[in-house]
Amino acid sequence: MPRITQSSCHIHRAVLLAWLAAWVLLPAAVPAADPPEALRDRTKSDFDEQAIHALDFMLTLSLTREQARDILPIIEDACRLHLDHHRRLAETQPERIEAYTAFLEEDRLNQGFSPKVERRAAQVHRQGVAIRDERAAALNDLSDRVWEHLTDEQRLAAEEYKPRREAVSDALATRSEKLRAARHRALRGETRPPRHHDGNRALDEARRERAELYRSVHEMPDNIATYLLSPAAAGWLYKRAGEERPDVVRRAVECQKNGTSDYPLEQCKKDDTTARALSREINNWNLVNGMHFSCEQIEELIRLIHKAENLKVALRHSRPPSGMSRRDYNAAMVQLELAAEDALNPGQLEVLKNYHPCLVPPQNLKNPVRVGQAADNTQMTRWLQQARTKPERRVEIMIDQLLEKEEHRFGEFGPDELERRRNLLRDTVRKAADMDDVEFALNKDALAEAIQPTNPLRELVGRIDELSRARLMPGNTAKFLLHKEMAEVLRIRHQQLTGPFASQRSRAGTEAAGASAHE
Amino acid sequence: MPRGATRTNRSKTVHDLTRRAFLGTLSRCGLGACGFCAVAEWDLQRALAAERPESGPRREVEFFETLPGGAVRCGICPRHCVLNDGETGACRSRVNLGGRHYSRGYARPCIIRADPVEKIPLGHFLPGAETMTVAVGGCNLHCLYCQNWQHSQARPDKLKTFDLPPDEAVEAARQKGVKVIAFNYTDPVAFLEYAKDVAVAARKAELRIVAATGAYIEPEPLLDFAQYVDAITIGLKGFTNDFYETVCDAKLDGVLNSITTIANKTDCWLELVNLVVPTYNDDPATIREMVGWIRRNVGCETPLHFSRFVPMYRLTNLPRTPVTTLESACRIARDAGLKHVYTANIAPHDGANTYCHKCGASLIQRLGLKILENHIADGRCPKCRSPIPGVWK
Repeated sequence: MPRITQSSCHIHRAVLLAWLAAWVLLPAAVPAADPPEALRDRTKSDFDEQAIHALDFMLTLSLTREQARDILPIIEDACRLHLDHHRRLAETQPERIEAYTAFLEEDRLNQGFSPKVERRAAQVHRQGVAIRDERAAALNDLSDRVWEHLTDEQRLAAEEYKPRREAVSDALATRSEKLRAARHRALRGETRPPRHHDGNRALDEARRERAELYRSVHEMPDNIATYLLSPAAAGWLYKRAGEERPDVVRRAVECQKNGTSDYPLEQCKKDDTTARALSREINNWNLVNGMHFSCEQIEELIRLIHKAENLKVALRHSRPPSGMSRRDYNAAMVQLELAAEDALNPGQLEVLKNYHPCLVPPQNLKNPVRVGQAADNTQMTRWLQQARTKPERRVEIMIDQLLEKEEHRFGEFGPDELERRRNLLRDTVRKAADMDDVEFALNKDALAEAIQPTNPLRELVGRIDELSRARLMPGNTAKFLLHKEMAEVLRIRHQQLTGPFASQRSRAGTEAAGASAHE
Repeated sequence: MPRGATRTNRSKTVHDLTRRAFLGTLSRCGLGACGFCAVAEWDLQRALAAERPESGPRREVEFFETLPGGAVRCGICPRHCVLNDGETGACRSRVNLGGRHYSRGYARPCIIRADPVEKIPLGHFLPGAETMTVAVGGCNLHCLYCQNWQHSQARPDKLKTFDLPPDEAVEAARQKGVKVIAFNYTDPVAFLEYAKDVAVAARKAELRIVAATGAYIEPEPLLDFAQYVDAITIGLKGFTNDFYETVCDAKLDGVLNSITTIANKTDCWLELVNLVVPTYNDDPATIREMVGWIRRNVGCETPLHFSRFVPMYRLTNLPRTPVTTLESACRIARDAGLKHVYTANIAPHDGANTYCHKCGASLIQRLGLKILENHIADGRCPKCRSPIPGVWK
């Protein structure tokens, strides 16, 4: 295959992609005798799309036959990983749904969580995150091995690769479909910038920072891991290397296309969708429970959500120049957002400002400090209490451990930042150690507050919200409150507050629990 | 040697010790060990007692009666515990030592904290002021839902404590820059002698004193203490004797007496708090009866806080109080004519905010224990200039 340079890459890519996909590679890569017509179906499978992106990526890299051969053992390992991941999903997804459902039921009642249900939900959530992160880490390790076989040019191309949305449609659409799509784009005025690029440098910068920070906390598969180490790419790579696919690769391809006999892909996707929907609903309930809306507030919010939904529909179906533009939509949404904020009291606004979607609500939402409650020490207060009694050498170890935990949670510190944080902790511990017990008891909360770590991700979310508002774009209030899923949650809460049936049921449940307590 | 012979010899060795003999030996060993441990424990306790016989500063209780045979009858709370020499009262903090009645936790607080005054809870007393809160172990009530049971249901000398004589307590508050000393978390009735001495010293230093109490106390000691107190929050935990006996191990009459005493015979600013426990004291009819009594005997301007129950101590199998129950309790109280009714332990909730009872203007906006907005000027509503009952400066 001739070597494709970076500059002429896109022309060659388009031509080669269409040709290869239509005539040669697709039938070969999909040995289950899937004709190209099947892929032109409106319901293109994820696997087909992944295969096209994989091909696009390979063409971008222009791998040689030798390179493809060198990569094959790594692909085998990647396929094993995919099979293992699917097996783990099969084991954990049903449990996840069960735990979330139990948690949601208690969340709806707003009477606190039983420790067992709360622990289980948190556990399966952590397990899910761990499975995702471990898979990403393992894939990235394999990606490092692939990296060693690439040239500098290919490495650059791999790093800069961005999947083209039109790659799939270019490869699969008929001529009339392409024409129709082009006409539609022209009608919609496709010259407008993409969704997340509104020309505001500060906002773009904040969004980019947020994405980078997120990547530094959660392991994300890189481009090679995503496009080359997927079973969907295996077909192309074996074809390129001119070798037969081993059994593990066949099984991985089959697994990614249809799942396994004991956990079909349809079921896997359904479970995933259910778990995500449950998680979203739990987020909404957490917010509603933490806000303690009155009936009047709920009615007003539902009215505003209706308006917001109508706006969304209008935006989706409008045609410029007579229809609604994105700018009009933003302006109208901002008006609705302001109306929603007017309906809230200052306390609720404060909670909303600091709200972050969560599965298990934080202590201040779930169980705020109560009147007359003595034991309300924060984690930081306890840490300080321990550290002040320890010798200096031990304090250094404690600081190291704390910093390590913070880096794990919030992302790595820069060298200056790390030193600043270390000095702050050291000084505060020294100050606390110099105090007598009574003085420390009176000042511990203030000292702990001073060394409380800040979550940079949350700070960025706040900054993005502020910048969006400054640009007359809807912010977090609209994001968290003005959507149709929230309307449903609010409707149920309204029924709970007013409906006789709901209150009777709640009362009956309470009495049953009370009877057992009396016993 | 044939294999069978070895097996026979070995089994014979094992069978020398019969099961009966083995169990007998084992039980004798066990009994011996138990006996040894008991003697050792007794010896250790005796040694500790000899080393520290009710060590630490202690102060004689002012209200008690000497009985024949070296016994004393405590006169602080309506229990009137009769204590023989060496015995401790139901509050775990007063002890008869050689026929004299002593307060055990004197100057040994187990909790010292800087808290907002809203944590007492006090809604109409210097909003947002920081307090130095002090608590000594022990309590004369034994509430099943106590959220500080680790401290209140323990002997003061069994807890980790600070050494803080009254003068030093006042000095610590001054150093911290707080203007209010509070007695909260455990009932000051259990450490009345210390609380009074701190209050006297605080009065000299022009600091304010506030207290949160279950008010299960005789009028005489209460009046003696209250003369040094600026504000008091009384927990009216229920309104039936049955509730008080079942849940708090006390009697309702004693508490009602204290409330009327404070309201009618002292200058203390009074607020009341009622923890609404599902199925125990959330009956609307009882709440109606309670607020009616408050209106008649205390007045309609006394703030009343309905507080949310959270499963604690021995009532962990009850759910939290539904927000609707608290809201309906508030409605009942307002309908009965009480002017300032609040919800506590729910945030953010409109019920936690202060509104003018005349024009309905928003006066104080709260988020939990935090003050977000305070519009009260010179103790009056900024809109209609009606005086708002309370201590505002």
